[in-house]
Amino acid sequence: MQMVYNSDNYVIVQFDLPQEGEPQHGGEPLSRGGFEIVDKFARKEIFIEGAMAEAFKDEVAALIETSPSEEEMDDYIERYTSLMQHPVILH
Amino acid sequence: MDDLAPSLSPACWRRLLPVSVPVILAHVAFASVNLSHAETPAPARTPAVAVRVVDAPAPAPAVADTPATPVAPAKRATGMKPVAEPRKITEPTATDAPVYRTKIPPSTVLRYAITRGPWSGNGELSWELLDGNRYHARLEGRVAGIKVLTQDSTGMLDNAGIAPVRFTDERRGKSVMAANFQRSAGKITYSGPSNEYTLVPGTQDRLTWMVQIGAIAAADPKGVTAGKRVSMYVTGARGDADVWTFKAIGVENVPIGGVSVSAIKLVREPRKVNDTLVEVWLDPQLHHLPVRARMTNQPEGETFELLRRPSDPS
Repeated sequence: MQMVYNSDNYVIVQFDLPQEGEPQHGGEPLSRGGFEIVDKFARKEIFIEGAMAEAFKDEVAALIETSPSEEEMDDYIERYTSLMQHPVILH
Repeated sequence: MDDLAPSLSPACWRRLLPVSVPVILAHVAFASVNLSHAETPAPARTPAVAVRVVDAPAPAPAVADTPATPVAPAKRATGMKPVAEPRKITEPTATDAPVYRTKIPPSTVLRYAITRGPWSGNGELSWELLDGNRYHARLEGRVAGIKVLTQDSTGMLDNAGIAPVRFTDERRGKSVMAANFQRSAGKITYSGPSNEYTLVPGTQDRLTWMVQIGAIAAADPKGVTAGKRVSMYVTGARGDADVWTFKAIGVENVPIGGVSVSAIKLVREPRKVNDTLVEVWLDPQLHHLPVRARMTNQPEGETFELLRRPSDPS
């Protein structure tokens, strides 16, 4: 696992996704790996995996091409906050 | 965003068992954030705690037992200290960029943790000596497996150390920018801007400076003791060239993966208000190559940092 992003508001930690350019096993969703997104202030988090994690990665890759500011990136991540149901301290 | 609906069944979390240990470590950190937060009244939305990078369990660090004396072949030996008065630099203001004796490191690959602003990722610096007097240097940076940065430099080795011929800088989503060191014409030109600068001996690009400063330190360790200065002319690929004058601060310990590396810190002394702040920590145990380097752009203050991962051989 490795931290990917750490702003004032959010943390994104990556869990073992294959590197860009590696075979994607015929487009099958990944059975392992994903991203954990933590909202530091709401103290909630979500773990996304499989097709959702792939989509997240693709979107982040596209975003990086636009050299987003921290505010713009946080705005993007904010879309996931409504899905966060797990308080950070519960597991 | 229906396609983003979470799938957070208990089975989902059970599948995470193989990575449970690092998860627990991460959450100890996050929980401590939470606890400290809970004891105080809910403040305005201001940062509560800077969460540190939580990394995968690191392999046993490899710290050299070898003496500080680099084993690299001492190819460059052109006398002590500055040996030539450089030509005047047309822009910016003419400043001495002395020629130093250098001890070029052997071919090596170093892995770094890369941080740029809020982003973290992995970097690999490849330094390769080719058939005697040519080199190839390359730095690739990835975030979440996505290649975000590629810097590539090729050139020769001469009496002033590393002598770049071509430097390219590629950022994801942007076209490749290049600096061309036209040695016969004695000038630096760029693929984009029409700027031209005089090419002085010892001129570096924004990749090779890290190797060159190590080569200077390796050839003359006394030249980087606290208070000493090292100057070089450095250009990026975007028409930006300037003299970087580093002042040696002294020895600092740089922690990497639980191991402390005793390193020589040098800091670029800004000449103008918005000069990029450059800090570098050289590791005498590893050919004086940087164990850490940090560049801070002004005035926005965004940092770009390399911190060597502990698994590299020494």
